[in-house]
Formats: sequence, structure tokens, C-alpha cells
Amino acid sequence: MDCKQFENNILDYLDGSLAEAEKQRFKAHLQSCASCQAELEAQQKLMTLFGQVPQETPSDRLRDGFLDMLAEEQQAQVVHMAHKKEFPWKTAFQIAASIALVMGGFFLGGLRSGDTSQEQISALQQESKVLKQQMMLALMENRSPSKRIQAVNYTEEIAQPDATLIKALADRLLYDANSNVRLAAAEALGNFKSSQQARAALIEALNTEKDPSLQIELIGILVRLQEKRALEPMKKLLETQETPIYVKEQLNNGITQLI
Amino acid sequence: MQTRSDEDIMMAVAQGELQLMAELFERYHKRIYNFLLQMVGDRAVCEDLTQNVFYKAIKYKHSYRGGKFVSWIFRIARNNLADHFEKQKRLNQNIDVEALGERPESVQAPNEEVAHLYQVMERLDVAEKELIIMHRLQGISYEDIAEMTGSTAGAVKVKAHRVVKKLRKIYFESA
Ligand SMILES: [Zn+2]
Repeated sequence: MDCKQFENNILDYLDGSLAEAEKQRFKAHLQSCASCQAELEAQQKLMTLFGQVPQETPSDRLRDGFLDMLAEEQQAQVVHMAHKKEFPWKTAFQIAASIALVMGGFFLGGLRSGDTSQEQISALQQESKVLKQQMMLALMENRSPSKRIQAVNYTEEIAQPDATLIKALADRLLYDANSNVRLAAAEALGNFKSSQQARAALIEALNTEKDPSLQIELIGILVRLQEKRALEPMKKLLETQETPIYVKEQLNNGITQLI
Repeated sequence: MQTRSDEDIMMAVAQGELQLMAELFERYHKRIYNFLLQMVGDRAVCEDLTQNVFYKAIKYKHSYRGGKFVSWIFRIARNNLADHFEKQKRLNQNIDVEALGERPESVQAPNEEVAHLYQVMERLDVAEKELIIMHRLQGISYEDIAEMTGSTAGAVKVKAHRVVKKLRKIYFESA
């Protein structure tokens, strides 16, 4: 073993990860070379110093803050699930269904045309859809961010969103002051794969959004949608000096999946 | 009794058992806090950053896909740290650097040699310093760092060895 090889093996020797045969040759060189002895001692000294760097205990403020935050998140989760369960349109559908039963009975008794009652049922369903949407739109303007997030999350259950609803989500994504609301809106819009309006809002957000976590989320969504029109804003973001390195990594990664 | 693995617990958190995050907080907050403190040197700032790491871990719990938990949570910590440095940089452009003065509650070294080590570490670039702190001071394995940074254990090891050697040279040449 020469001095160069010795040098390369110092850390493995001290970390105990040198194979037995190598270790013997390492020790043999050590016996015969003063300058390598000095290098080894220097490295040992450095390792000792690493061990002397204090590992501090943070103040109680950290744990208290964490526990408060956790309690809040749990609360929000409970509220979200309860709302999902009790949302009035479910009740509205139940009412519609029971009316349908009554009408069905009427139909059998009166021997009337099946088409008429079917039309009435869909009219009722249509009404409850309108009701559901109005409630959601109102909730989206609520002062509390967690209420707005709830409203945004409700839209998950809508298969065919109309322009008004997409517009409301786009407004949340582009103009809401709270980044968690914007995040929820981005995710909701990303679910409406076939809506050009939703895609356009996501692309516009990538042009304007300054929060790196949201930038990452938007890139992920647009790549998943295979949205080629996102390439331009992605390139722009990549060339912007203030864009954090890890966002740039995500951008490079995304661009290679789109081109 | 067998201890439940970090990964097992985090999967349950991702599926909605948020209260289990308290256990992961107990296991990791000190390491994350010290990693950040050794990078930044300001206790109050690092407590806030640490709390934010766990906040994001809860918010983005669905992005956890079952890899090594230590790699996942430290990836969040590193992203937070990069955000912090970015904000600092923007702030410093607007404020007269002279007016900043000493950092508040800055960490003092226990002895002169460690103080010298701190000074020498400032001469590494951020990525080098981060690597040394993660591996040598927080005991994160090459494998786990590789998973965190999207590299391979071999490549991380080569880089870490190179940085330690560089640190050793600077330390003893400037002693
Ligand atoms: Zn030698």
C-alpha cells in the first residue's frame, strides 16, 4: 500500500469498514510511514471534534407548538369528515328518492306513463345539484381558510363541473391569500382532467405563484396532465434566479417528461 | 415488545391516524433541530423551522410512499432550509449588512477547537457542509442520504470522503 492508497483508506479504517486483508496492509504501511501516521492522527482528532459538537435540546416552545398544531390538524380532519357525511345534498337526494317512491306508487296505482315520473325525479336531482353548488360557492368566500379549504374539497365529488365552479376554484388558486387554500384549489383543478378552463388556470398559476411548495405541486399536476402548454412557464421559472434549487430539480425532471 | 418502525407509523399517519405523528416527532425532532441549528446557528429560527418541517409532513402526508422515513423527513427539512436561505438572501439585499450585527442567541462552541471547527466549516459550500452535518454529526447513513437526494450510496460516500479530507486539510493548515 502506498501513501495515496493509505490516504483513501483512512476514513474506512476509522469507520471500521475496511476488509481484514486491507486492514493488515493499512497497518503495515502505518508502521513504516511517519507522514501517514500524522495524517491518521489528524483525522482521528477531527473525528473527536465531530463528537464534541453539542447536540442541544430545543426549548419547550417547540413541542408545545407542535402539539397545538397537531391538535388543530386533527380538529380540521374531524370537521372535514363530519361535513362530508352530513352535507345537505345527501339529504336532498334522500328526499328526492322518497318522493320518487311515492310517485312510483302513484304511477303503479294510476297507470301513468313512466317517463313523466322519471322526468320529475331528474328535475329534483337537478335542483339539489344547484343547491349543492350554491352552498359550495358561498363557502368558498368564507373568511376562515379552513372553511374555504372544505368548500374546495367538496368539489371532488362533482364529476361534471360547470364554468362557474371552475372559475371559483381558479379564483382561489390565483388570488387566495392562504397558501393551503391555493394548494387545495390546485389539487381540485388537477382532478378535472378534461376541462380546458381548469388547465388554463393551473398554467396561469405557474406564472404567478411565488411559494416554492406550491410551485412544486403545480409542476407535478401539470406533468401528470401531460400539459405541454406548461413547458413555457416551466422554462421561464427555470431561468428565474430566485427559483430555489429543489424547484429547479423538479422543473428539469418535469420538462423531460413533457418534451 | 417490538418497537413499531418509523415507516409503519408514517404509513398509518398518511392514512389519517394523525395522532401517531406525535411519536415520530419524539423520535426525530431533536435530530432535525440540531441539523438545522448546525446549519443556521440561530435557536429561535431553528425551532420555527423544525415545527414547520412537521407541519409540512402532516400537510403532505399523502406524498409519503413508504420509503425510508428518515430520508423523507430530512428531505422536507432540507427544502425548508433552502427556503430559509433564499429568504435570508432576499432580505439581505434590502438591508444594510452592517446594521444586522450579531445573530441573536447564536450558538457558542464548547471550546476553542470546536470554535475553530465551526469557522472551518463555514469555508465549505452549503452542500458540502450539509453533507458533513448529516452524515458525521447526525449519523445519517450514506444509503439514507442517497435516497433523500436521489443519488447512490457509493456516490454519496465518495463525495463525503472528499469533503472530510478537504475539511481536515483546511482545519490543520489554519490551526
Ligand atoms: Zn505513507
